[in-house]
Amino acid sequence: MQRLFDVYLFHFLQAVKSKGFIISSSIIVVLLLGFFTFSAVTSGGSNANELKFSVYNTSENYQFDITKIQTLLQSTNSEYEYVLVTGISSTDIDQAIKDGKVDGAVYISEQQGEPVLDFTFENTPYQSLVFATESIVKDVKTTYLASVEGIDQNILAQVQTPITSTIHQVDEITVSMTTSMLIYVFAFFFYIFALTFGNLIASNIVSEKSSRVMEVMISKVKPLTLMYGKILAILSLGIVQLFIIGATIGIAALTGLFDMNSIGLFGVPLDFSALTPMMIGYFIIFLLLGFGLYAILFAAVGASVSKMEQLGNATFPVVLFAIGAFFIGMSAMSDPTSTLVSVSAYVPFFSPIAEYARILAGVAQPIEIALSIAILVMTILVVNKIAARVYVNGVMSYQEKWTWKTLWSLVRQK
Amino acid sequence: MLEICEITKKFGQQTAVNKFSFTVQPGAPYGLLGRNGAGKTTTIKMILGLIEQDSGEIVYQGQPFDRKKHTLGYMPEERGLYLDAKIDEQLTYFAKLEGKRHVQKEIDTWLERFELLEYKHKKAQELSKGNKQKVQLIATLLHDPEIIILDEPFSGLDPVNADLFTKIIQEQVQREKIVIFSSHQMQQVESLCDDIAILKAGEIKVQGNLSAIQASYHERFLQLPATKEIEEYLQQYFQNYEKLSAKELQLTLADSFSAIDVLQRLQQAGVNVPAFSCKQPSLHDIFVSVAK
Repeated sequence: MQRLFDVYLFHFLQAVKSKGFIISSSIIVVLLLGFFTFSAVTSGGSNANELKFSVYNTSENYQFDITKIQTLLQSTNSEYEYVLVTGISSTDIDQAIKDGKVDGAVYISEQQGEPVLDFTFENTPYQSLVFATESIVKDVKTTYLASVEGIDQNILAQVQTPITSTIHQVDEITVSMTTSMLIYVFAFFFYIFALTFGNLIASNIVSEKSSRVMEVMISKVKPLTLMYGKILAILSLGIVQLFIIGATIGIAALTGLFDMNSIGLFGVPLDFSALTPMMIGYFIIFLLLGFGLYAILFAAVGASVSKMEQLGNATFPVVLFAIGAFFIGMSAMSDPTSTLVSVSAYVPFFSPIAEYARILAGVAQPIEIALSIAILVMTILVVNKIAARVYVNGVMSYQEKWTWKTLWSLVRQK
Repeated sequence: MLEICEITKKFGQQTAVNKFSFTVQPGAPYGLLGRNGAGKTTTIKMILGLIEQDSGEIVYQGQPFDRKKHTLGYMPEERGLYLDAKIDEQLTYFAKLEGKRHVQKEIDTWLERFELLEYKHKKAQELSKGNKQKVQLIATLLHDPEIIILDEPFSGLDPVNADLFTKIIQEQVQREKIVIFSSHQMQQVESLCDDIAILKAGEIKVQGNLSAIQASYHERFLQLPATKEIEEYLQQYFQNYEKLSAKELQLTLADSFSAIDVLQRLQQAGVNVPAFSCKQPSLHDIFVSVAK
């Protein structure tokens, strides 16, 4: 145990002090702070959940209380906060939109007795504002025409009463945009984490082999102690980088560059408050087990390789598994109950993303989660046994050329 | 005492080492010689426990050798250091893995001895090949091991550093350490080893005490001045001679011919022999004749 700790500590400190880590962490910090600063400057302090709009009504016959638009918008979509901005003259509205003071504006006028709606947006139109305004103006127009034509107000009220409709879902599964985004964030995070740090483990082992320091090391410490020490060191490195990212976001939030409530992706708000402690617990379990599985595979493949240039070829299948897992996560964003996702939840290379996506969507039963974790743990134990053999045999083997036969012979060697 | 008893290792159909036995006494270094692929490194790796022998036994102090119970310093043929790590950090790490902590004082002493103190906080990639080799030897000896195994310790060293290495190995020998080393540098083996084994394709060709091997070796050499008449005589009556230089000839003597016999025949033939010298076979001569 002491040797494992010594190996872990040496590799962890070497990795943390390495130029690569310092430069990549610095780039992440600079990019994050730059992004937040840019967003704060360009949005004029607005947040992603907020939609600010202005309404100008110059029509004669179709005047109405413009706060009705705000109320309708709010009632149809509670994920946004709709803010009615007043005090900006209609001639200044284009500039106000460019400056981010307003996201959209509607100009209501009248031509030959008919209401005309003129919308202005910076680029993509906010369809919700278009629909809400059209709907209200249509009602105002109906009311106006009814009064002109002397139609009974009771009849008019009946005409305007919306039809009662109820939607029944056999599956009763609705994945909100917020949940979809959380699934996306986790899938992307796992994919990047497993590939980046998995590759780092493999390249670390190859560099140890190619520099021949492995010859010294294996006379001092068991190959498996070396392997696990390195995996733990790289995992810790990943956690340190996460802390750096977290601290950067924290600093940005404290200095007002970033509003935690306004975090969003592709225009959809990311609501981390939807994550329960249990979901966070499962996140840690699936991340650690999933990373453990990929890390062991990367370590074994790395040990079978003698030169750095052979590494890409050797790790390609492992990378394919990670890409597959990521795309299954993408699929789970829209339908976490699909056959693909449901089956993948029990396939160890995919389950860290697939099963966790199902947990986030609330479709995974406790027994299913337990089964998925059990299969993942069992697979890790089996893969660990095979990988250990490849590692032990591989670290002593120097081949000019790497082929699948090389890997297979290392698996078979006693 | 370290006893290697009939160890055998096969890789597929090929026998890398066949029933090899030898004993290493404390303070009596053992030299493993042989051409590339003779089985020296395989033997060393079996002693280190890096590969398991198919048969045979390794015994240390009367007990089956357990790597965990004894300290061992190994300098592999292929030198390796963590290129991105600082010298003091990796030396500390290597010592820790051998169970020795708080070695800063020892590190300073060794670095000073090898004139490497200024590189203490430098990365290994900044060191020359010779200096890296010195660091490697420090890593081998830093934890004061009971058994020292050196695989080609002198390869690539300049004469000054080779002398320094020899001196340091001799000190370890004087401290009654078990020392095994393999080398192609016969001069160093001759100056350091009491006992040797010459391997060829996994088989033992020559084994035993170096002086006894040299004394019992059937070949002797007679060195004569390279005058025209001596050379003409040798050409006519002896074919197994070679011209060592423009001034010196060397005749290899067979068992049936002694140096005196040759000199008498030269005298009888009226060939003037202004000087001569007899030479015992060197380890180099024995190695070349056995391993070629």
